[in-house]
Amino acid sequence: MPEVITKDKIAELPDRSQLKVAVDTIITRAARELIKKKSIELQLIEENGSQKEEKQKNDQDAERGIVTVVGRDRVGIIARVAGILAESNVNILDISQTVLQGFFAMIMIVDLSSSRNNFSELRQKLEDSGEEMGLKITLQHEDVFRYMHRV
Amino acid sequence: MPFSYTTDEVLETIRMVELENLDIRTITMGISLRDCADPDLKAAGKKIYEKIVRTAGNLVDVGEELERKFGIPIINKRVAVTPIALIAEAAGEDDYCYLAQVLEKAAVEIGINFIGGYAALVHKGFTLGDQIMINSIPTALAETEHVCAAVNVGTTKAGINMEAVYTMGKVIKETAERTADRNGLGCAKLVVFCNAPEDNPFMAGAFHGVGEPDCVINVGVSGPGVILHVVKNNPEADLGTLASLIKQTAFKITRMGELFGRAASKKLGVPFGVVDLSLAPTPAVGDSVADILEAMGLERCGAPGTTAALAVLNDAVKKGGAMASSYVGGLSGAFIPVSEDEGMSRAAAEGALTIEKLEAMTCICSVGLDMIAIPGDTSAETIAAIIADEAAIGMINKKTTGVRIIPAPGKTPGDYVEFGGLLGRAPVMAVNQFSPAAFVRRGGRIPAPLQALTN
Repeated sequence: MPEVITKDKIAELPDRSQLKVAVDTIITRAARELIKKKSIELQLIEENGSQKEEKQKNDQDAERGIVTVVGRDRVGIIARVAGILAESNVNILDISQTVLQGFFAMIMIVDLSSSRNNFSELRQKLEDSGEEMGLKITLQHEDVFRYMHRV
Repeated sequence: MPFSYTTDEVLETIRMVELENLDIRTITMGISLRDCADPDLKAAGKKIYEKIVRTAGNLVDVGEELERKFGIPIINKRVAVTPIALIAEAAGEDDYCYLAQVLEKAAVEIGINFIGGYAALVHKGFTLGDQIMINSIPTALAETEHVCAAVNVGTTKAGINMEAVYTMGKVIKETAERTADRNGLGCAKLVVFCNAPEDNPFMAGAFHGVGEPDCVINVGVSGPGVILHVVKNNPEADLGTLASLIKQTAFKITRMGELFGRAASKKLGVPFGVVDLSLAPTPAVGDSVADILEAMGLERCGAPGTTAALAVLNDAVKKGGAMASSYVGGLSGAFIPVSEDEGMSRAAAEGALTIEKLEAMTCICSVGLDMIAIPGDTSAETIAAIIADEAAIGMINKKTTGVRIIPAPGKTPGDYVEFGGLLGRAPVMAVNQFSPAAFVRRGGRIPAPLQALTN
C-alpha cells in the first residue's frame, strides 16, 4: 500500500529540509502547498524503476493528437505549425486543409509518442504561435474525437 | 491506419469546447466507509479521515491530468461516502458533528470541491443513529464549508415517512437560521430526497450507497450550451426532428463522460461506476436549461407549454445518452435549479416561473425543486408540505425527486439572494400562503402506492 503524506506530517518538518518518498507515495493537495511554502525539497526514490519506465512508454505509444488551425488565410501557416511540431519531434500522420472565402481551416493528425514536449507544453506552444499569427490553434487528444464521432 | 475525421466533425468538437461550455461537470469518487465504524467516535473519525485521504488523495491530480490531456475542463472533483448515520451509529454518542468536521478536514486536505454523504436513509422510519444524525445537520452545515447533507424520506417501495418530512421542514428552517449571515447558504448543501439514487455524482445529494463497491468513479456530464446551439440553429424543425437532433448531440456529450470515466478509472485503479446523463446548467450565460426551453419557442421559461418542452428535451437527452455509455445511472435527467441557471432565475424574477410550475416540471424530469429561495418567514410546516408534495410525485412516478430549498432569512418575495460561484443568485419566490399545518402534523407514514406492488 502506498504511503500517504498529509499536511500534518509536513507541518512537523523543519523549513528547507529534505523529504525522501517513494515514487508511488500519495501526497495530498494541502501537503504539497505546505511543501512549497516551507521550501522543502522532495526527493523521489525509484522502486523497480525499469518496470515503471516501460509502462509509461506503452501508455504513450497510442497517443495521437489532432491539431486544428482556424482563421484568416495567409502565407506560411502550415510551415509555421509544421515547424513547431518538428521542433518537438512530433510526426504528422495526416493533414487536410480547406480555404473558404479567405477563411482557413486545417486539421492535422499527429503522433505524439516520441514528442519532446508533454501534451500541455506542446498545446501552449501552438496556442502562443497561433496568437502571434492571429489564428486559433488547438491541440486535442485523438480519443476525444474518436469517442465523440466513432462508435 | 483508419483515422480520418471530416473537417465538420473536428470543428464541431472544437466549437463545443471553445464556445459552448462543453465540460465534464463532475468526477465523483464514491468511497465506502463501512469498514470505519467504531464504538469510539474519535476512532471512527480517524479511520474515516485516513481512508478518504488514502483513497482519494490523487483524485484532484488525476482530474487535472485528464483536463490537460483531453483539453476539456472538469468543473468539480468530489467525494461521496457511505451515509454517515450508518457508520456513526455504532458509537454511543449523541452528536455526530465531529464526523462532519472530519469530512471537512479530509476534503480540504485532498483539495476537492465538495464531500457528500452526511446522510441518513429514513424512508420507512428512524433508528436512534438516524435521529442523532438529522438533528446534527444544522450545526454540521453551519460549521463546515465542503460537507453536503442528504436525507431520503420516501421511496416508491416504502411510501413516505411523514415524521421525517416534518422533521426536515424544521431542520431546513434551522439550517437557514444558523447560516443567516450567508443568506441561508447551509440549505444549499442539504437535499431531501424521495427514491434517492445510490450512485449520484451530483451534489448536494451524492452519497455512496450500501450496494456499491468499496470505491467507484462516477461521472456527471454537462452541456446545456451545446444543446442550446443545436436548438437555436434549427428554428424551423418540427418537434420530432428537433428531438432527434438533441438526441444526436446528447450522444456526443455523453461520450465525453464515458471517455473521462474510463480514463479516470484506469488512472486511479478504481472501477468505473456510471455516467449520469443529467443536463446540468451553471450560472454562466448560455449554459442554461431555461434558455433551451425558450429557444424551443417559449417566450419565457414557465409559460404554458414549458412542461411539454421539457419532456421533449429530457427524453431526447436520455435516449441519446443511454446509447453512448455502457453504464448509465445517478439522476440522469435535466436539472432545473433556479439560482444555478441564469435563465430560470430571470424567468422567476419576471414572474413567468412560479414554484407551482416548477413542481409540474419535476413530474417529468429529475431532481425536483432545486435551489429555490423562498421567504425567510415560511413556516416549517409549509416547507415540510412542499417536501411532501415533491416526495409524492417521486413515489407515484417511481422516480427520484428532491427538495433543496432555501428559506432566506429576512428576505421577502422580490428580494435577491446571492450564493456566489456555481450556486449563483436567485430571486426570492412567493409561496402559497394557505396553511398545510394540520395535514403535516398528522405524521405517520404514507403507505407505499399500488405502483410498489410489482412482484
